[in-house]
Amino acid sequence: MDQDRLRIWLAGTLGCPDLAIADTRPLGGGSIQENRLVSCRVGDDVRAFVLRMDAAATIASSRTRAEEFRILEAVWNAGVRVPEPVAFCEDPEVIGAPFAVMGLVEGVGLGPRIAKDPSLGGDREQLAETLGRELAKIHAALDPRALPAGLAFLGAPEPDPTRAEIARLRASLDGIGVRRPAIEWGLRWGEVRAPACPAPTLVHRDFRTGNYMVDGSGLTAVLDWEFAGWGDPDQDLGWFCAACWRFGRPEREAGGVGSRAAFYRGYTSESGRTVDPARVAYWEVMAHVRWAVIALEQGARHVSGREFSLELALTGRMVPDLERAILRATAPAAWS
Amino acid sequence: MQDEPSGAALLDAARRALTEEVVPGLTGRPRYVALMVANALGIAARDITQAEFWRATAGRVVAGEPVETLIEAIRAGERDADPELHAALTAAAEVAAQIWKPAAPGT
Repeated sequence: MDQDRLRIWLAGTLGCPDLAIADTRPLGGGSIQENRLVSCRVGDDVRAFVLRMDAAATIASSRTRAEEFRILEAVWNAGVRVPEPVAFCEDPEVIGAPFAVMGLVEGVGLGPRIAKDPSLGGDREQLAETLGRELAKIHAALDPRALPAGLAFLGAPEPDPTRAEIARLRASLDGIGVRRPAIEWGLRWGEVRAPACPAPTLVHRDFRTGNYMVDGSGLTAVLDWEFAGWGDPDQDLGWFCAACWRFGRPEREAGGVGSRAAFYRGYTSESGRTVDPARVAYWEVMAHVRWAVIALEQGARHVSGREFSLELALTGRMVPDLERAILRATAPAAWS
Repeated sequence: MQDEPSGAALLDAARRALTEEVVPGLTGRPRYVALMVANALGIAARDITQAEFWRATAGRVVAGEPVETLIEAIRAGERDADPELHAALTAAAEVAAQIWKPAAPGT
């Protein structure tokens, strides 16, 4: 990375001509995007930013960094606990690719660590409740009928977002040339059982443990907005509670951190909407289906030879475990 | 006759040596990578030992048809709630999931 070009761009954008870069280093996490910590000195102040850019290979269903940044601005303005959106650089010449600049948020994001380490996240029931509240704020952040110009790329919500999601997942499988009858079975079940979605909202689409950060006292930020768009709000509730995202704590049904009741309580108190457990249960099955498709896409990045990664290779191999859960939930009696 | 130990047994010995002798001395990223390597060796070993069983159960799913034909039929709704297909898919997924991560004894 050309540090001098980055320094000039940051100094110009922030209006701080004396800005100096003290340190840059890669931050862990993010198999799709690459994050870099940049510490700057501005006069006597030290400011730390996170630069977010595309990793070597991206997966087709994730948004561009520019779109993700606009969504981050919208939810920041709606009061959702997210990193501060600072600036976006469209010019690929500055560091080699367009990138977003965000304020650094302290905390731990690693899912398994959050699930296992009780010193993190403060009171766990309170954490689950807070996450429910934040999710409700996300769902209320934008009105699809009154979209700011900068978010025009979101378009109008699809008339049937659930079946549209299923069509996208099938297209993803066809795109990587993967043929998995068990996942097809799950997708078809999802099509047959699809609940109506009368009021699509902004959905995060990857709202789960591992995609938010906590410190010793609680939630510090909701991260990873690369899949956000219009959809069924219950999709986010189901994704968060799905058994595949509990990191070895299956008894804590809300993301491996707290009770489902606390999570729903937070959601309802913020949104005024009562959670329908049957709809969330549908989306928990679909969470396994979607995670299986994403895992296959991640595995394909390694298998295709585009990117060497043992982590991605192993992710591709975990799919049968998800298929088993899908099949258990979609036995013939569960089709009607 | 195959040389002893077999490929699968060698992979398993490599996995044990790694987890018992190398991993305890590591921390941070190298420890994480070594554990992933051990995991991959275990999967590869089980892949070899269960290959025949896997082929048989996966074969039951497609029942002599090309897999593309089965997928078309599922998407077209021709196999909705089909109990035989569900049983065959479940058997195949159970075997493959055991290759990924064997259940602890007694569970």
